[in-house]
Amino acid sequence: MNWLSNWLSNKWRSNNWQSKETSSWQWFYRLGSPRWFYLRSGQWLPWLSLAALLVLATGLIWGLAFAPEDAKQGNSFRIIYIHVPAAFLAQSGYFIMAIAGAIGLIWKMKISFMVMKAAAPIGAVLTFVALFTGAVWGKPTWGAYWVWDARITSMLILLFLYAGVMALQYAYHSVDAASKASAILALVGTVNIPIINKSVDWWYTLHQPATIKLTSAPSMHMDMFMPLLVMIVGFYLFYALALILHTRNEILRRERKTSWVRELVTAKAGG
Amino acid sequence: MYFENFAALINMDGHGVYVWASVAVTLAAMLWLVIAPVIGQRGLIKEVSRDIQRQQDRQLAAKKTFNHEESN
Amino acid sequence: MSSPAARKMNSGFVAWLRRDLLLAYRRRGEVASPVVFFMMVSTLIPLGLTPEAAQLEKVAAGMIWIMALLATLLSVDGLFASDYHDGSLEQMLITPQLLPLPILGKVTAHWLTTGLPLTLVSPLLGLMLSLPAAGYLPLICSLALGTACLSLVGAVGAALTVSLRKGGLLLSLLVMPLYMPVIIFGTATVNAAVDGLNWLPPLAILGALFAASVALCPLAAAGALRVTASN
Repeated sequence: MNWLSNWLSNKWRSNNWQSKETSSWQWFYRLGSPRWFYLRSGQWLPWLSLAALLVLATGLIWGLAFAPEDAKQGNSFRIIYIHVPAAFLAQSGYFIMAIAGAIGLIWKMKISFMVMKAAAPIGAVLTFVALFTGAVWGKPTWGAYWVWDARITSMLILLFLYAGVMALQYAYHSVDAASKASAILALVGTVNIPIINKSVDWWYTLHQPATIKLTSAPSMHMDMFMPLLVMIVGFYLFYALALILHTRNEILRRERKTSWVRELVTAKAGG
Repeated sequence: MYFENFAALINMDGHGVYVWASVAVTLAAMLWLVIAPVIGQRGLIKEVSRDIQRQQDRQLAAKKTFNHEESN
Repeated sequence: MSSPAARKMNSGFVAWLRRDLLLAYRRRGEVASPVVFFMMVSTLIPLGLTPEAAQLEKVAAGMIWIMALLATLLSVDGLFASDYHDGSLEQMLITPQLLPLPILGKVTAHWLTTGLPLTLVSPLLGLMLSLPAAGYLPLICSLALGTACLSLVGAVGAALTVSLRKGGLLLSLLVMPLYMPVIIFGTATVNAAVDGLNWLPPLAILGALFAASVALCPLAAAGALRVTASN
């Protein structure tokens, strides 16, 4: 394995931004520089877009055209290949937003707050997609577009939580106050999400004892489960792509007075 | 393919409306999430370059008045 | 409890509690408005739905709880507002006492002037909305605990929006999701009793929510005030 460690240390030394001591946390602090993130993410974007496109296309075509249909629900069950990944990402997206806020509050990293601000609209749109697809799925399955089932109600509350964080961001003029207040709200929301989910679950079983679970993932046949996994991975890649794109814009917006942004802009505007 | 032909894929035994409507809305939302920042970036770059231009003009104007005052 | 050390520990709480109660007493009319709102909109329910006792009976518990929640939501906006405008909030931020203690004092005063009157008036509304007899005691207990939770969680929202001009609407948007577990278990308590089931389990969960709120909300509100009130 000696060749590997030699190769790695050579890579490290030839890096432009290397410093004297190679501490293991360096990558973390480097990530905190908006300029580094902007330039690096520009290199990742083409690969990430390609990967997301390929995985999503594969999963979608597999799920819509090749997977077998459900015995009870027929072909409308194929909506699961969009609904479940969207709901997954909507939930994970909120935690990503909250963690970014926490990192910003604790380590005082500007870029973490920028990521938090970028994550909010993406998560909100995905929550809306989950609600919409859930409602459209409900019509052929249960006969009604909107049913107050536990999962849909929790998704709706998640949408309100996202809306609150976004509204608070835009309410404050001072970027600093806006970021910190939104971060606190996101953290309060995070603590509440399990409580809300469990309460709504309990409330729903109280009022509707017989339910059709919208996702029967564990008891799904492998042929139906595999494309779902692919779609979930594809959605994660897409989320990363969207998050990086939005964060880059936020970096440009907030760092517009710095020299590196001005150089970049002059080069782009001139070219 | 699970379906016999393309027409059956679109129809999906009557459930096609629901499935394809969901797919359409989802893809539209995802496309918007990716395209909006790209368009936004172009607008941002224009804005910042205008800012730089304005600042340079101001500096130039300040220099002119300074030279003018000096020569007086 | 009156050793100098003990007095120092809770003096922030007691001092601000007394201050807010005194201020509320001087503005008795204003402070009574949530209760008046509560009673007036409860009159809207039979007007909007139906005057039949059989139908009202089914929705009484839920509607009383919703009205109590809305009344608290409207009043929690002013928790920090007047102090922010006259500068006493800044004074609170620079006192040597731990910030959560004065906040807890203010929230307690808010509950004593809003939540407690709502709780005491609720049996009257239960009577007007044909609440079955089994529901009265659970209603009072659940509202007492529930409005305390609502005041505490509302304080976090009020702290986050204190320096904004149109903060009231934003406040409602922010705290609404956080209020939902409280109303779920509050109405579950009353409805369980009305249905003849054991109403202590949901009440216990409500108590747990209250305990968690008392422990965590003053901390969150303190953090929020440090960010928003010192612009």
